[in-house]
Order: sequence, then C-alpha cells, then structure tokens
Amino acid sequence: MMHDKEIDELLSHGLVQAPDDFRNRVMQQVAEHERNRLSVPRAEADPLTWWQWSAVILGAVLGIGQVLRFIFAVWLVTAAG
Amino acid sequence: MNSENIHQYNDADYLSGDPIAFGALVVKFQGGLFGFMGRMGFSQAQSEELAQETFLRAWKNRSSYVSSKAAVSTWVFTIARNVALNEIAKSTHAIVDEFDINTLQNKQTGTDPDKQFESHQSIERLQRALRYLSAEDRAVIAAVYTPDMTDRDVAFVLNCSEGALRTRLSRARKRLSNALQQLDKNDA
Repeated sequence: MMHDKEIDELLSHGLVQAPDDFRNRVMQQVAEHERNRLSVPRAEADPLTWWQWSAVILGAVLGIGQVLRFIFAVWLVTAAG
Repeated sequence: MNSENIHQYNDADYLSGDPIAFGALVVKFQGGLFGFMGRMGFSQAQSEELAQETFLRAWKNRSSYVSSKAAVSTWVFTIARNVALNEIAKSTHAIVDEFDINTLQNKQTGTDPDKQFESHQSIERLQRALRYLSAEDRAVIAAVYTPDMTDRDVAFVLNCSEGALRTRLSRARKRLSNALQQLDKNDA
C-alpha cells in the first residue's frame, strides 16, 4: 500500500495547465454570449396573448357549463321517472 | 492582466457584471481549475473546454451567487465539479484518451530529457490510475488537492459534511493507491 505522502507528491503535479491565452478565450466567449443575449428580442407582453388566454378561459368555462347543464338535465329526467 | 490588478477586486466585484473584473476572476482561478480538471482525469484539451464551460456558466449565473453562503472560489469550484461530473456521465470512455504531455513537460521540467521522461512517466501513470476511480472518488481527490481550499470549502463543493469528506478522501486515496499498485504489477 502506498503512503499518503507518496500520493500527495504524485497529485501535487500540475497534470494540465492553462494556456497563456486562456483568459482571452473565456472573455471572447463571454462577449459572444452577451452579443447573442442582446440581439435576441425580448418577448414583450403582447396584448393579443392576453386576449387569447381570456378567450380560452371563457370558452372553457362555457364548455364546462354546457356539460354540467346536460348532466343536470339527464339527472332531472331520470329523477322525474 | 498583472497580479496587482487581480487583487483590487473583492468577491462581489468579480461577479458584478463588469467584464474586466470577471477577467480578473478567470486569471485568479484558472490555475486551480486546470489542476482540478487534471485530477479529475481529463486531458489538456478536455480541461480547456471544461474550464471554459465553467467560467461561462459562472458568468451566465452570476446573479445566483450569494456571498453569505460561500466564497466565490467555492462557488466556482462547485460549478466546475458539476461540469466535470456531467462530462464523465456523458462520455465515460473519452477520459484521457489523448494526453498532451509535451506542453506540460516543457513548462515543468525545462528541457532536461531525463527529467522530462520521469515526469512523463509519473504523470501518465497517475492519469491512468485516476481512470480506474469512480467520478465521485476523482471529485474528492480533485477538490482536496486544490490549493487554498479548506476542508469546509471542499465539503461545500462536494455537498457533504466535513466528517463524510474525511471518510470519502481516505477511501478515494486507498483506491488510487490500489490502482497505482495494480498498474505497477501490470507493467512489471
């Protein structure tokens, strides 16, 4: 079994090293990221979307109302004999 | 960027969104980060890619950094750990397929051929041994041997208690030692 000291010594080697231009490469990527972020238009609150959602919700409420009315009618007829 | 510029920033400045301050952060942590990636068993090319990914993530997520929770170094190495573990999970066979030993040798041992050969052998042996370890074992070793990291920092990076860290480190060291011995037997 190897001693911890030997392992420590082995692991103290810098197995890989940062290239000299590493900072520049990272900063180029950051700049590119920022350019992409700024060039993508932000999705602004669209009034149409708001109306569309309202229409969907209204339609759903009316639809559910119709179904409930139908169920109530069936029950009423059944109960009346 | 010189070392004087590096020290004029504090943790909050590094992630304030100022590219110059962020560049200083890159310079400050790149050495440690490459050491970390190397101990994770990645090649030079892979380490460069993963270190870049780490810094880019740090930039993108800088608003999520909370200085009261951890030092900026701990935060960066936590990202690095996640990036490294994701990479290992993605491609378990691709680790250390090619190892650019030449760059390192010239930096570490100058041009003395004997020293270069010795350095080459010991580094290659270690890289091969690291390949036998699980991703978690490598992460423990990689983090513990990062300069300027306290046990508390390492425990934060690895998301475990300091007690658990000691147990995991002892286990990882034992496995690494076994792997090195196994390699020596195979080579004999």
